[in-house]
Amino acid sequence: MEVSITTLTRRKNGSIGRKEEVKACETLRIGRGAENEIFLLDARVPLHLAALHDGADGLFIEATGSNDLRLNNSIVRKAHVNVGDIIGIGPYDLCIVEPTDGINIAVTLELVQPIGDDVESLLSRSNLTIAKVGLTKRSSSWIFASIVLVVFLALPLLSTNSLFTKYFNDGSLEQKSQSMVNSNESNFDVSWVSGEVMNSHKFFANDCAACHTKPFVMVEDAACTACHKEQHGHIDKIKFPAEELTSTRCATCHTDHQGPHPVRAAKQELCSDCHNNLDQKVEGMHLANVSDFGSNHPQFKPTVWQDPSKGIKKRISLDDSPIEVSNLKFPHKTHMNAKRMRNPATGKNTQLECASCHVPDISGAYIQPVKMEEHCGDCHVLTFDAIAPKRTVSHGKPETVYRELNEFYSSLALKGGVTDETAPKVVRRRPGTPLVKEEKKAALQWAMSKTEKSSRYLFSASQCGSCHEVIRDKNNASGYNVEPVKVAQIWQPKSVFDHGKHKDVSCAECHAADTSMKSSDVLLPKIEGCQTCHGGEEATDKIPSTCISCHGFHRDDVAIMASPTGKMVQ
Amino acid sequence: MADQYEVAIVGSGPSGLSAGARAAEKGMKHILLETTDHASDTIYKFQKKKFVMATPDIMPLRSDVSFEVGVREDILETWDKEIEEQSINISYKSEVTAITGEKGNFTLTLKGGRTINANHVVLSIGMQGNIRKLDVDGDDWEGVQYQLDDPEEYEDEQIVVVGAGDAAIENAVALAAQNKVAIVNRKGEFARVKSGNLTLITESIESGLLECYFNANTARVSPGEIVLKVPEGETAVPCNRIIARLGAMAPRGFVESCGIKFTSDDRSALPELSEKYESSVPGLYVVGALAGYPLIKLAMNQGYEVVETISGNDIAPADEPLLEEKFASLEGRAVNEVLQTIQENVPLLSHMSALQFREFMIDSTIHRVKADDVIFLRNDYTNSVYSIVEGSVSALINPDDPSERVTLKKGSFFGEMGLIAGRRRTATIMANGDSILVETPRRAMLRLINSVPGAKKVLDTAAIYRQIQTHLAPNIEKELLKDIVDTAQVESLSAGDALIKQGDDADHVFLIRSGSFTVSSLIGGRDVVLSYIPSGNYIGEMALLNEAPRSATVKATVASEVIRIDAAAFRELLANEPTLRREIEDKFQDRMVENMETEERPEAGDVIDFLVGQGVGEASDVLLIDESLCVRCDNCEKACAETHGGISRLNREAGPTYETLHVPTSCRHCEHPHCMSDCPADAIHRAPDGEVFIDDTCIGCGNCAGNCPYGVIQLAYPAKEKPGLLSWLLFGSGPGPGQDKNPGEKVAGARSMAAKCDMCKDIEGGASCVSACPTGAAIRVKPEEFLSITNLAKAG
Amino acid sequence: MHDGFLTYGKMKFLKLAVVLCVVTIVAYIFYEPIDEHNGGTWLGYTLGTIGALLIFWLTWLGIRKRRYGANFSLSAWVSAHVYLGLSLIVIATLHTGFQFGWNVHTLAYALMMIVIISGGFGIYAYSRYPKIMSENRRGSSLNDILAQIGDIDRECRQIAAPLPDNVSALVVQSCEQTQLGGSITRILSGKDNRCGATAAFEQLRPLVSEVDQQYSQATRKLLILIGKKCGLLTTVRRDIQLKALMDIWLRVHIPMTVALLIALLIHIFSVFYYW
Repeated sequence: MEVSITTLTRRKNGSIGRKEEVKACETLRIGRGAENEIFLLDARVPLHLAALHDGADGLFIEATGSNDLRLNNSIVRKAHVNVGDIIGIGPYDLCIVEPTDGINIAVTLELVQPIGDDVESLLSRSNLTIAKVGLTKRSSSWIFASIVLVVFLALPLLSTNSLFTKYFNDGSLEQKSQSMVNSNESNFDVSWVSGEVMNSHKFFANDCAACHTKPFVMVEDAACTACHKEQHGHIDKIKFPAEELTSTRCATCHTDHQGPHPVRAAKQELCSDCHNNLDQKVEGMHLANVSDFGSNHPQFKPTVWQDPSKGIKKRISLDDSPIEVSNLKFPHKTHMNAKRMRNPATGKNTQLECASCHVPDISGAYIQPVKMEEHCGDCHVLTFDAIAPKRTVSHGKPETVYRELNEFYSSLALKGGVTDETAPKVVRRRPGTPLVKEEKKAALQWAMSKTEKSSRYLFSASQCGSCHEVIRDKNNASGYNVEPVKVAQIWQPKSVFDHGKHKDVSCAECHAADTSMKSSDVLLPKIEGCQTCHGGEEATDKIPSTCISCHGFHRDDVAIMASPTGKMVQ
Repeated sequence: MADQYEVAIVGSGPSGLSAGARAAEKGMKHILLETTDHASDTIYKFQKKKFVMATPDIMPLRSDVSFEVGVREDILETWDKEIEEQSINISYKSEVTAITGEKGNFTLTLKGGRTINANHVVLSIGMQGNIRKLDVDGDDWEGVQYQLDDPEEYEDEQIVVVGAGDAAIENAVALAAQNKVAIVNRKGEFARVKSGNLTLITESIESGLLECYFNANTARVSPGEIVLKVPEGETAVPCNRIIARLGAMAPRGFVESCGIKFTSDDRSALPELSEKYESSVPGLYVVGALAGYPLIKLAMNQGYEVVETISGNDIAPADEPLLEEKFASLEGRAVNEVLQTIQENVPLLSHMSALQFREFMIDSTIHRVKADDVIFLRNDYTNSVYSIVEGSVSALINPDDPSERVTLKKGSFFGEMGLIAGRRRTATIMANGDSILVETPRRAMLRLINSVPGAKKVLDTAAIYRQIQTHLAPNIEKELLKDIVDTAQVESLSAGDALIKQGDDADHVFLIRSGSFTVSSLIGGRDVVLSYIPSGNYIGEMALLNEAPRSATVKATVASEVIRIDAAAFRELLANEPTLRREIEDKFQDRMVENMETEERPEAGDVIDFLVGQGVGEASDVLLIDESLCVRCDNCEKACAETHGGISRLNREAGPTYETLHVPTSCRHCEHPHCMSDCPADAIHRAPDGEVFIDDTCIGCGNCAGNCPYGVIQLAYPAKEKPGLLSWLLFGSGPGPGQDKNPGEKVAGARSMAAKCDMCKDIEGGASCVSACPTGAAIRVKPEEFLSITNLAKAG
Repeated sequence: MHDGFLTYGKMKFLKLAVVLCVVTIVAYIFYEPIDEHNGGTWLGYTLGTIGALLIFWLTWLGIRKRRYGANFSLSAWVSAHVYLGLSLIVIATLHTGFQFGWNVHTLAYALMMIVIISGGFGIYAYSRYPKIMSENRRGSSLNDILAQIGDIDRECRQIAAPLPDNVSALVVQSCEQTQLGGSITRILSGKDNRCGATAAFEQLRPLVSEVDQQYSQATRKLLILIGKKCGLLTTVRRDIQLKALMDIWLRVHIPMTVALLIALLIHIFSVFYYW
């Protein structure tokens, strides 16, 4: 039979090139093998694919090799084919067409999947760089940048009660939270918090604007004093414009966002900056220079009484062996001596301890004042007459004592029954017998003389006089008086000394009481005493003690300090 | 009886056409003979849409045929139109095979036997030469063609390609894509073709892509069939088309067969011509490229002038006004007078014919200098030659002592060493008093040397003397050098030639005049390179000094020239000049040391060997990449592209590598740049600092790209405007910096121009590729620096 | 002759960086703030300023390197970039005073450290892989190798044409089911377990002896070719891998730098906004 095979080639310009060849053969074999009528040198075509027969009942095609056929995109091994059918041969399409006269079978053959340039196709399959994977620097940069921008700038700025929002809510940056806490729910601006706030501020820690009241301005004192109303400053900044202090803010020492502790600044330089040469800073400065407790600190200057009656006190350095005029006679040495101390009640000798008289207050820091009734009265009993040995007078003013005596004797005389021989008989009479006017007169006469006698005894050097300064005083009903007793409660009011913290140190180590015969002795240890244990800030072999270990900065107890002259040395 | 013409013009190129037009205009009886079936075949063969320039711009066009800058098609169209209008008597397909007779009675024999008689003949056949034809019966069938413009034009044809050259192979393979192709090879294999083409054709034949007839010759052609003579006998191959690529016949043979003498045997030599383009055969004129005027406009002017001459009126050549302008500085002396004075005063230039000299002067410039004007400085990289017409100059030969001067008098010339060695100026030149100098650019000078043997001789002897003086014996009187100079001879070697062989007897000292050499020695049975010696040095003195046979072999790394100095004369000189002897002894010892170092570090020698193998020997500045540092970021290419209109002149990836030393494909600024050798527009120059660059008069002809053995020149269209850096950085609006580094596709209105490295001569930062290298992997070095063993040893 | 970016100018930038660090550390040790060390002390502000300026300058490299043709040496910049960048570790850390927390300030610090660490890998990659890359390529360029692979494929197709189907099928597989690189992991691993060529090679080996005599010669040739191809593929994959390794770190370095830049600005803004 005659077979016409037309090879179609599509060109770039779209036109189709036709190359027809006519072959005479029994069956039209198709494959890569050279023996086929249609042989296609292409590795993608099987050696023997199919054969096309012109059977009695028309054309039919059958697979000759192991591979099945692709007929109009359905898989067959053997099938009838008609004009228009398309048989897939690897990359080729074989199409049955209407044969012209003299031709039994006409087919067109077209390469539909040409072999591309191997390198090209390899590269088209491949991907040689990370850039192509889509991991581009630019896109990821944008993503990360915008995340950071939104989460850490936009949200914090716009979060409720951020300064920014507040400003836009009521247009003023001046306003600040007057009540200590507006709200404390945490906002996005926590991402701006630079560190833990101090405990005392934690209850409004999330309200940044509570303290940060102005943008780009360091936290102002106003923000602090809004709450800390009562707190008063170290000095009067107007009267005493010391640069070091006027330039400092609360936050200079009380830096926040540094953890729980309130006062961050214990450094002595904070004080010594000014105090180490105060005299050169301030005209007529009365305060001594000080820079370090260990090396440069003046001797203690206790404030002692000079004239209690006039109420005059004075600061005198311990180096100038100060005398305290207290109008009290008290020899510590005698009282510390057991042989000299016999209890009148028991008649036994007793050894007194410091604590027998000096009792710490509730805080343990300070010592309570000594009270006559509690601490002296056991021994110093105020009796006055053998006829009433148990009877005492109260430890009070002279006139009170005199009246007590007078009342005692008067009632005794009117009652009668006195056993004293020297007494008139009207006083010695049997008690209960009524008296006539003259008799009463005589009885009271006696009582008066007795009163005089006892008061003379009481106010003598042996009784009151043993501790007090007793003077004659006509204006006083008793004819005597007692100089006021003033003992300094706190010798060093500008500093704090906690006896409690030193309780393991025996009193005598600091207070030389056992040698003191006069109550005018100021039994304070000199600074050298403290310095045996305490050193300056840098001390390594002693307890490092900074200024604020003893001294306060905010002196709420005294008036705000100021320069005596109000002038600064320029 | 063939008809008698007043003038027969052979070749319808620009000059011929112009001549024809003039003749027609003047009503002369003329005939214009064209081998092909169309006018001006050379331009016709330009690639499609090629942009044709009209250089030199200053030169006025003097022709009846119009011509201006434009694309090939337009120009050809206009000319065809004008041939019609001006009724130029042009006869196509008339190839002249012979010209005989003399003035008044020339006989031109055409192919096919027809003859033409003419009183005058104008030869304007250009340099293209004649395409070799099949030259068999029936080769006039229109199915036979001798060139192939666009392979894609033909589809589903049976095509026979005759020829075994590169062109034939390329055509055949290209056609085979959509045609049934047979290639006919006269020989048994494909010899003398590019290796690429060889593999291409072999594969194609193996794969059955195309059929090949070896040892086959064309017997005859008949329409639709070509008969081949094959060893087995004859075989007929049916075909729709025959493409014969048999190469061309150089015109010189034909021209000489007409009795025309040439100025020298040099390949590029020109015919002897009078001022009026008349050749050594009276009445036979030569114009156009063949006369040494490759530029279209000049050629057309000559066509015009030559016809005027024939018709008997003596017209001043078109360049008259140009020369007048040039000589303006000389207070209006007449052109001819000036030309005469120069030729009288300067022996070097006296050998030129009037015509050559005019041409020569158009390229040259006249300088009037005053005392102490600096003409050029030591180490400038200019390579023009100066001739002293009047006055004198002095050369400061000693850089350390400016007082040490050599005076050059009227008539002498200087600067020729830059020309010969292609190296930097060796001395500073200053004018002594008011002087007149002629500065001639390299190109014109080379033309002179090639076409005027006399000039070449003068130049050579002078050069030899000066080179010996400069490089060998700086401060020695001319007299003492006389013997040496007399015995000295120039000798040229091509790359790889051995100048000295190890073990030979030492009977000469050599002074390297141009190119460079490697010194190698047999160590452990293999040839180890000991050192690299650039031009301006002498070799061979070692053996001479210790009277021993040659201790090493010296090979030329590139085509080089040496001055061979006779040993006896040299020894004598040393005997008379103890100082010189000492100097040479010192240098000798230095080399000994260096050689010993190498023998310890042979790998350094290998590096030299490798680099020299890459042609670094002829480089004046080469880009080297240390691949152990190179992170392949291609920032060098980007930098190059960004600083040069978006086109990178450098291909980092390409190029050979030795261990980690990589020589990327980038210009080496050769001492004798191959690219310069054939630039019709003379657009390639060497900057004072040595950079070889292409200016924008480039016409995109691609000659330089073709001539560059290192493939560093590409034809590219200018890149489009790029968006700002930030907009790319932020939003990726591309192309970003350095992206699409070589825009190949044509931009409307743009024309392709040759792009090559100019070493960023106009950029303050120096070579961008180097300054933009993030890791310091890229460096540009002068070979003589880099190739010193000691440096390599340092480099490790 | 070549002067790498690490050794540039006798390592002057390394020296500079070291000096910078030493000075900073000494200052940190001897400076005693009223309170603890942190960014808020004047030393903190100083270090912060230096650090910020450094970061801005280091980032500027991205622009600078693209200002082509200017009078500067990029390798010098890179050298400085590397060493001064590393010195940031000291400067910035001391700026923090070792106070870290879940806030934008520490975020900026963390980002900076990420950038520096990725840069550190960059230094490693840049100083190590180029040499390996050259050794791997053995002097031929990537395109050369790809061309060779192409040639091998073409040759295989030609040889396979007359061979039995099972053989030619393997050739087709080797040609059409091979790919280079692909997903990031594949690129970085430099391996491809589903490489068509390798598979074809393995399946082809037994066939050499199985196919009948007339084909065995050609089949053996195929085996050799495909084997060669596999070798080339390995080279290319290694090449791709190394190139990727020298590139991947930048894809962390750059985005993180940008993020850092933003974070840094916010850090500066926020600390002064809430001063």
